[in-house]
Amino acid sequence: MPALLCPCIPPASFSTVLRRTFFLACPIILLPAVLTLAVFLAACDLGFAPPDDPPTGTLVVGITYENYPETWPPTEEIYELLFVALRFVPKDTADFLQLNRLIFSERLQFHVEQQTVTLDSVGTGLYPYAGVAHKYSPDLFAWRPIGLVEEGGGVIVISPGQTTRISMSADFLNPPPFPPPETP
Amino acid sequence: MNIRKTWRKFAVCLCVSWALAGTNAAGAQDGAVAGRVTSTTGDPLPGANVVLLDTTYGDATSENGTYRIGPVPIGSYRIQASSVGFATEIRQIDVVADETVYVDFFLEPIAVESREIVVTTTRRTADAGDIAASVSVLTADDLVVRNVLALDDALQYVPGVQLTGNEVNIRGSSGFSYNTGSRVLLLVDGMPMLSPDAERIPFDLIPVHQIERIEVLKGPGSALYGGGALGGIIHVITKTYPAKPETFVEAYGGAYQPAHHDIWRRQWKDGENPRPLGGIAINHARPLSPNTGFWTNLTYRYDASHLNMNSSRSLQGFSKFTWRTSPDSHVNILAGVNRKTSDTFIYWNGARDALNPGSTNLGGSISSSGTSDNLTQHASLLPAYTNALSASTLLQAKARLFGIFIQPLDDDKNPKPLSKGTIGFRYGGEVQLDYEPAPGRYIIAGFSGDANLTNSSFTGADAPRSQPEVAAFTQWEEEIGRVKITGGLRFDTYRIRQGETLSKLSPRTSATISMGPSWTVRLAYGEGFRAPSVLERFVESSDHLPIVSNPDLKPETSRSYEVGVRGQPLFGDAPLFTIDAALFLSQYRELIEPKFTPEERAFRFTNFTRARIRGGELELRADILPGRASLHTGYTYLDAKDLETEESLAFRSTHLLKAGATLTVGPLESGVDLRLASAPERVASDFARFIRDAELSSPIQVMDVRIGASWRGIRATLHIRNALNYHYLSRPALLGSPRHAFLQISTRM
Repeated sequence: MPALLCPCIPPASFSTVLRRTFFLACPIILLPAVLTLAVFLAACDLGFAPPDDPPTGTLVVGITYENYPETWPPTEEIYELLFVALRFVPKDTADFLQLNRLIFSERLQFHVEQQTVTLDSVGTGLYPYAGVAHKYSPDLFAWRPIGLVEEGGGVIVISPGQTTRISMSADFLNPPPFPPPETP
Repeated sequence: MNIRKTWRKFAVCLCVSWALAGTNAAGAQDGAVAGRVTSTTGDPLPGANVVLLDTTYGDATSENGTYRIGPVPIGSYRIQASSVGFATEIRQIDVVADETVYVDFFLEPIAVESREIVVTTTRRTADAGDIAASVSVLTADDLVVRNVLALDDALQYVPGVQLTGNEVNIRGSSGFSYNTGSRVLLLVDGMPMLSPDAERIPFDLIPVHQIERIEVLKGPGSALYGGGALGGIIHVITKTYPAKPETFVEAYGGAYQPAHHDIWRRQWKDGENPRPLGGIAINHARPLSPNTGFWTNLTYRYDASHLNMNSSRSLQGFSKFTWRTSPDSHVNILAGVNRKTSDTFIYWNGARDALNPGSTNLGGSISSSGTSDNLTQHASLLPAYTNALSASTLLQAKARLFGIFIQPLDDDKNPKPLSKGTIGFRYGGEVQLDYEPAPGRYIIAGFSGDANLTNSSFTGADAPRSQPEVAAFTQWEEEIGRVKITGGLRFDTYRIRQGETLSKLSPRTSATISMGPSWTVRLAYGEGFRAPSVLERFVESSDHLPIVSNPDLKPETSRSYEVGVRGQPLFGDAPLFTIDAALFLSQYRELIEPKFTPEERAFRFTNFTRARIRGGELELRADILPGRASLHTGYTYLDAKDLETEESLAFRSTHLLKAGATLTVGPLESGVDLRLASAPERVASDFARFIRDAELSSPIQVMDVRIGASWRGIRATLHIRNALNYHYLSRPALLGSPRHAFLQISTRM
């Protein structure tokens, strides 16, 4: 008959009790804590979300070129021609690189006397500096205004869902000063 | 560990052989001992050692935990059962003639530090507890169980490390600087391996399956490794060849879930459907002779990406050859190539169209796109020679060659000539001598030389093509009682232009104080610097946005102070967990970032500010049931301030939390990893001038879950990354990965 020794476990020492307590504490406290945190996070939100559709309006601009057609430069001297409205008054052509603070139209027609431009989905608010911008050389910063909006004190106000209509004139030979003189 | 296991098996076999041999002599006056070894939870413990103390009799338990020792001469014995991770048990038994004594053992698990605690990032091999710096270690197991695909993927699990896009940010050192000039240095087997053109970290350089471990040193390391280690060091240590031939094959495949928000999906047709990702890796390693061996790896990966025009496919081949030239010396040669074709999503088309790349129209033909298509090829060669000249002297000589070739792709996805892209080489070497004149005293001295050669369409025609560097370094370590003091000094000189050099002396000093067997207190001071790369100083481009050179850029510098404590509190004979706490203060000067300068009407890299980052970090690791259940967590608090504007430093999260748990029951294994980061307090960037909604930021709350099983050597694991499908920005204007799941199947032969 095989001798079977009793696999009895000796009385638990203090350290063993501590260890057992720790082993029990970890699954009992930490794992549920992690799960709770996960559930909490899952219930919170889905994180980054697209912002709400910003309120917009429509801007319709009627542009008249003074002294048509004599004042128009040759086509090869017009590297770009845009209607631009800024949310700030620029101090340098480098300010035009704040693209997120301005709106601009598609390329305007060349060699016309009048043109009406419609900009849809324009962010609401104030645009204190707007006009026709002419890029006169390949240089990135070779821009100049050839006419500014003067109606309403030069400030365009776009209201939600509304259409704002303005008129302005432009003249290649008599451009407004740039940068604009500082108002006191 | 394998050697120890093999030796143990050999010893046990020897014991059994001797026992069997003894049978003939002992004749019939013998008995036997048999039984089973299990854990207190009842799980069998295969491979446990059961021996009769003070004899040569013993056995190792089988798969189901059983053992048998015999024939054994009659008499009284003490029998011992032991297994790694469990408390050893000893019993008294009497062996009687012609009978088998049955003894079952129920071993109690003990929490032991299962992590690799050996650290080499401080230029010598030492226990983590003896290092006077914060070092986190990821082992090969950590990488395999998480199916980590590349180095940046792995670093996401390290406490105190945050990835802002593809920039590694250790304790707030980096922020976001358009992926130029990493403030964290990458070492591969001790050799710096930043890319030669823009000093970027090449995350795809080393196949993950051949990584033995990754050590992350948090804090300046320039006194050790020179420029680049401004904020910390990532040290990748590759594996060596095994004792027996081994082949490992892994394949995985899955898909990204379409983004949650309908408005995003509507604007990209393909975004309505799951986007696939997958890959296959084949590794083979074998000894070729008693003194030589190698491993080789071939990996192919494809990722369609959750973003439009961001897919990539890569093919990577890497090998390491080892030649033990004598019992005291060996040669390692690590070599590899990597070819990757990728669209790279640079910025979105606004927060309401986050899956599509944007574009910036500056009028006329000048426009830039929010995506860049490139063919990128790497080639690297790292030979290293190590020789123990005597019992107290070690010589190491290493060299490196790292080539990078970047070719933009045309509209038909064909690579344009290299003249339209970038070609760069980094090459050099170093010699290091370790000398231990007396126990407790350790001296390191060495010198290194490096050069890079870059030809890029982004640098002006007259720009220097290289920036050679030489350096000398030394380190002295002295152990006085319980205190170990280390002092280090490194002198670097760069030639930045013809006849013009830039020099930097980087000191480092630290002390560890042993507070008994379980606790170590550390104090550390170090300085770091980073010399601007050739590309940062001499970039000239108007292809997209105007960028002009700034040859007068000064190097970035840092000073860091740290006090920390590391402990493995003992309860009885065994440690329950490892805890590491640190308080740190880092001061940075002359940080470099691309800034828009109105007077230049262009961007240029500029030394723009001084900064101070202070904070604390707490890391806890516990193997609750060794090999079966483990927990780890790390929390980092950062107070990062721009000292010139008194504002928060941009792109730094104040709170970072990493946590994870693994549970193994029989053949089943499950795990969860959690990454939380608060939203950066400030996102300030000239980027936002041009890119819609680039000023937005978000917190990060990502949970990865995995569950798998092993059966007959085949392991299958289902990974669900970002299981909560939490949308976040990994950097300005770039949406992080949504929920994606993939099945990973691997086998080792």
